[in-house]
Amino acid sequence: MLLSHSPASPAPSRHTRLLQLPCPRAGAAPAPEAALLPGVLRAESLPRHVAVVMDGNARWARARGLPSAAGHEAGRRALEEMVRLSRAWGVRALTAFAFSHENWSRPRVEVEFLMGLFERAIHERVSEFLREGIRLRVIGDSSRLPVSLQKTAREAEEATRNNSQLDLTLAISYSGRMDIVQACRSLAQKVHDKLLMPEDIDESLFAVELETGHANDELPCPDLLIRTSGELRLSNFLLWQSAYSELFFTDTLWPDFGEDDYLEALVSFQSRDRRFGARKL
Amino acid sequence: MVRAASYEAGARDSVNHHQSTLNTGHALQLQRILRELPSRWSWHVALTANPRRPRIRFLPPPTPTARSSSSAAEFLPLSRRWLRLPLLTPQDPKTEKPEEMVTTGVLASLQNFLRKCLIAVLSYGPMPKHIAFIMDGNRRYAKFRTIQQGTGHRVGFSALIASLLYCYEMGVKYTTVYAFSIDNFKRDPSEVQSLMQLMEEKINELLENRSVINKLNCKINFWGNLELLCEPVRLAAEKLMASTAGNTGLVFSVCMPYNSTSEIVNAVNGLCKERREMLQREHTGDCNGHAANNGVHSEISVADLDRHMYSAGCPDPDIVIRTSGETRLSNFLLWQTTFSHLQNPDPLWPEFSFRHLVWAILQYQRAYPYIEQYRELAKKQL
Repeated sequence: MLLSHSPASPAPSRHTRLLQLPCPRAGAAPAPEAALLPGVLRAESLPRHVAVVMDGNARWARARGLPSAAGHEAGRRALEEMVRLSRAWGVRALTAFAFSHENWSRPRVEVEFLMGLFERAIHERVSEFLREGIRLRVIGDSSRLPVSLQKTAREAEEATRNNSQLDLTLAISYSGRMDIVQACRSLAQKVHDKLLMPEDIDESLFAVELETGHANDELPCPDLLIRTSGELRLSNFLLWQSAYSELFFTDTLWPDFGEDDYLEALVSFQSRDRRFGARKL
Repeated sequence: MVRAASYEAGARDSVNHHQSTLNTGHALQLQRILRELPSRWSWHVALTANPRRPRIRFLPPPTPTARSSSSAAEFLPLSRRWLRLPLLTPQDPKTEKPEEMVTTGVLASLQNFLRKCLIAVLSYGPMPKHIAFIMDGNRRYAKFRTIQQGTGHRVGFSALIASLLYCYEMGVKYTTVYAFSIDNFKRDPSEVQSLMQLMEEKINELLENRSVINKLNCKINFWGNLELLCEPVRLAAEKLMASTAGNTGLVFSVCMPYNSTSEIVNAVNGLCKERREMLQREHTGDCNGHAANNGVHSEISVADLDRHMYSAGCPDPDIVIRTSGETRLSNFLLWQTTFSHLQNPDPLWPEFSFRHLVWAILQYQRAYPYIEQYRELAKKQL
């Protein structure tokens, strides 16, 4: 049922129920403090970290006869909706795959448009992030990004550094394999500088060196990884970190991914039996 | 009897009524209701990744004489009963040998011919070169047929040998299976012990009786931290690896005990040691070691790490099949499966048979153009 009772309020008796508590109906704006979950979800079995591969913008636009720029704009709106829902439902961290290392080989016009889109989106939303308590991080190979985008991203990260309601991580120019390779390089450098022996390298040390280890210290590994548009692949996203994530594949294209689809993914996550290799007897 | 029949009928009706409108929440409630029913039929609600089509299967009850070896074939899934693959039961360990799967006889010849026709038709499309299996569901199989736990794994082994034979016939050159994870050591010690014993027994069987190995001309690799295994299993595994090292047919890799994250850490370890030795040799070799320092570490690349992985020399998997409907990778080949087609069919691993393999390959062929496109793009980037 709706979590509308605060602990301090007395239990409603038969007489006072009609007077006392205004029941917010489903669909009303969520209260700022209380997480208003739809009836199907249980708060204790929500994933804490959700990762999403936002695939299908170009196909969506092509199906409607629009240029792909319109598809990417619609995708941006879908992401904003998802951020709002995650904030409302109490998901602690959200990682979105915005631009991959392989996407650099797309037509130059599209790549430039996307870079401009990211910059505009971050710039326009910084104030909202500050208001909502969302912490923004950008991971990926920033050396290939345009300088203005790097500057905007850095400023946004600095401004939202102390927020704690939701950790939003954007993976721009990111590749899981390159992430592991750069972690390997920094570890090799440490070995070379005699700070570390090769035998001391273990999984936790390695996890700290990865870009998500820098970005998101408490929850580096996603519990749920959603991939839209019907592709059944990981495509080089969070390879190490998705070792134990539950994968959810859906056929809807990313601009169409709304509240219903997100709810379906979370309900499916609820019903999964996560054993991590051990057995519950 | 009448009461049980009516419960069965009632359960079936409710299932039929519910199945069209089931979502995951309903499936859970239905599971709870069915649990109350004293039905002779065991049931299984498989909740797959797609909540719109959870599967409900009713399984026949085990007959009282089912434990004896004469009717042990009842426990086999329907697909394999026809092939008359005998089941390994603890009471009768002599009945099943892998070489008996290479069957002869008129019925088997007809079957072989039909299978070859089907494979020839499939071969018109792109065939995968490397298939990886996550063999999930043995214990559930044993539970739903209410037989002993260890027997589920034995039936799973026979399913594995059958799949290998089918893969060989289809021309799949590399097969990888996830036999045991490092996380599985956290299980009940008696279960771990029985699994180790089973593995040792099977490896020794394959060593003594080489008909399967000779038919497939197969080269067997063991990927993983073999030091974590107990002594007899490790020695048997190393012996098998050494004795099949020269074969040139199917390459069969068993991941035991394996964790992809520890594989990557191992590779990083090996790479760091290699770099350090290289630098030391340069230091002692000539005097301008300073110039070498700056350039070396920026050259570490994907190919360097690939060389140090256990799977060096094998191509990346084209298909990863995880049975029993779970959609997780569970720390299996994370580095190598970037562009693999992930599939999670509903049947449990002991039920996985030729038709499931054919369906898996058909789905791969459907998605092949997209996968190839992305693979080319990725190669260009690297």
